[in-house]
Amino acid sequence: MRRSALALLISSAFVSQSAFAVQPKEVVNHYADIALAVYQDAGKTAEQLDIAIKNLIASPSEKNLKSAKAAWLASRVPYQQSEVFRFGNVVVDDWEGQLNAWPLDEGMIDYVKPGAYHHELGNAGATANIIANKELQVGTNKLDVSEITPELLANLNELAGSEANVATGYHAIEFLLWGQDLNGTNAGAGERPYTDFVQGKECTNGNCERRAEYLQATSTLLVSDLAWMQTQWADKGDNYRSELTAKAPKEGLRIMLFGMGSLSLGELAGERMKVALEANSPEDEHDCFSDNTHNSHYYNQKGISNVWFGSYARIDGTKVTGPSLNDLVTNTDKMVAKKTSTAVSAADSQVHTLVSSAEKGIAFDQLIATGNKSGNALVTASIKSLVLQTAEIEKAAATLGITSLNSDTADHEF
Amino acid sequence: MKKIIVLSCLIAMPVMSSEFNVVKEVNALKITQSQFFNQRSQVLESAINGYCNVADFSVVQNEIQQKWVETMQAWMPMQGVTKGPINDLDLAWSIQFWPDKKNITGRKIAQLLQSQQKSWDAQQISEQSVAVRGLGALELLIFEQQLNAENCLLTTAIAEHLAENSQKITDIWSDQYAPALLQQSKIEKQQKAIELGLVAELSHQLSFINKKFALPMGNEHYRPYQAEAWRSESSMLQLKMSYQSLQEYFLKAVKPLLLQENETYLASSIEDTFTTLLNNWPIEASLKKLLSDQPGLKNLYHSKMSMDKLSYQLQEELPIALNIIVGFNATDGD
Repeated sequence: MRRSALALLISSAFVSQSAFAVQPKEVVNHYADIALAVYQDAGKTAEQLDIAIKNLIASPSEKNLKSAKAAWLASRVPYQQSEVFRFGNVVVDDWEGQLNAWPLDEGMIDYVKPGAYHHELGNAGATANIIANKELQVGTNKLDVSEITPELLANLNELAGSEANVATGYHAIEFLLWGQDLNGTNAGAGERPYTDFVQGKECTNGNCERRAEYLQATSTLLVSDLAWMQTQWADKGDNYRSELTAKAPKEGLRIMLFGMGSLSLGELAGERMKVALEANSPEDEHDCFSDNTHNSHYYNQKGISNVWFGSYARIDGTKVTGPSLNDLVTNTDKMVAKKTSTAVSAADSQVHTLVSSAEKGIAFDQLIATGNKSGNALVTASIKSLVLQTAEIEKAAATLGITSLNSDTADHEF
Repeated sequence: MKKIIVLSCLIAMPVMSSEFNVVKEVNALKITQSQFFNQRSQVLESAINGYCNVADFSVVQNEIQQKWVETMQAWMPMQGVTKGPINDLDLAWSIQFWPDKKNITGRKIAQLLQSQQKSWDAQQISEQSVAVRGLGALELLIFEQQLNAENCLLTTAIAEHLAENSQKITDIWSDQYAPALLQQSKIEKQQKAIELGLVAELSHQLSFINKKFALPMGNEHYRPYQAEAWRSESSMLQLKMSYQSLQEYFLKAVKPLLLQENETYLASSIEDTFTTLLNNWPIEASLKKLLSDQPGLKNLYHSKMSMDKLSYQLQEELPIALNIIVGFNATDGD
């Protein structure tokens, strides 16, 4: 009798646990909620940046250039957290190049210092200088670029087949606000004078009118691109979100985990940290004109953390929280969930040391200098934390029965 | 991109019997390959040393260039691995830095030559950018610049550094890694994880090799300077060696496992795809030349069909057949 009562108690406990257990579908839905919130914040901060850019163009001054730079830095906070949605979600991956392509051959956009400009080998557009020229000769083709519009700039991306020909997006704006960073691995970012935007006699480095037109056009494009992406994640309508949430929930989970792992390992640890560090190459740092790379890396990592914990701190201070991968894995294997959470939190803290270093005056491009052993070690520690995090993400995926982290190739035909 | 990181291969279910020992096969293959790479590196170092000692720069340098091509070919089977000494010691980029989208190699070599430093040794090279430590830097010095009074000291030191690294890799494979792997695989609990991890290597290496073809092919425009070994115009020769070594790995280490699982059809299909790919490989060694005209492009797209098929077989069908999960690798991302 006693044993039966105990068995009943245990069995009802299981029933109630499974009745309230987080379901995969809810986790995927909440992931879409976070994506929407992040893109809304990215949209808002891009609009604020656009206002600051309009002020700078209308009234160029040291103060207005500084305000535009501050607005650009603020706009990077949500956007970098959105990059975890890039890998796996085709709608994002196909779109993001226009906003965040990097590294770029900036000589395609504006003047650069001869002898201090390093571009991709064989790039026919590397010194096109759209701002200084109304017609471009690229290889055998002549292009009319007399009227600078968002559409024209969008079409100039990847000109002549080079990914380094980036005409639009955050980094084009960054270059126009800061200019080339001529300090190599020494302290200091780009130092473009505000007079580069002054119209008339006071204009420095020539073509100030076209430079202002260029800056405005790419800012307009950024705002409209981010507005479009918000519609894709909105909770109603025939959009990408409806496609994602209509898939089998397990496919949604795979996309989430694939995005986290790909950003963590190949992109952040590899392309964005390891290349710059091992090659001691400041041209390969992410926000190389502004020296904002530390924040850019940290908020990438925060994006991974957001998806794992199902939590996002919005720019207005409110929090978006809900059913998470962590909850889901905890239901299946508490130990794996705990280890993954520990690794994700450890990566948050470790990558934040790059921010702390920059706040003390040692930016990422100084950390990667040849012979800076302690700086190199700090970046290496971040890379290691990302590697460990990725390994735990793989284990968490296995716990959920996700056997292929690669993109879906069901349509593959031979 | 580079291979940076060891990643675990996660195990879904044990599948293999003890008739065939994949660990022993892989150990033997890797030891042979690392010894050969070491031997080629030593030959190259000694050729550069000899040439620079005589310092008669009027002598044609074809022989040294050929030795570089052979050393590079010997390196091909070791690219893109996620397990073993190259990964543990993080040596891949020190041996070959690729892709080098912004010509960091050219820029850093120029800086070193302009620094007027009077002497260079392997230790000093090891403290410089990875772009100047290995085969890519030697290729630039031997093919683009050709050896001369100004670059001989630096070239000799880089060749010495490469030879030291290749020695390190073969020593560790033979004396430490292979025996330890075999030992660990005897522990029942670890055996399957180790075996299946070695199978997953096939997929990781394939990702890297495919990237060597995909980058210069581009999306809509061709990008010949993104190719590996474009300066020596031996890209296709190197790439062929990559697929050949992958074929060898498949035949020796993975095919027997498929046969044990009665996956005869898949095993022979994969074998056929390798054969078709390699038998129809373009004769021209320069990818840049192939990209420059229609007959060359036709050849490349023909090869691409077999590469795509091989990728599907090795990365989609094989993991299902052997019940393994292949984790992330460094080519995930851009």
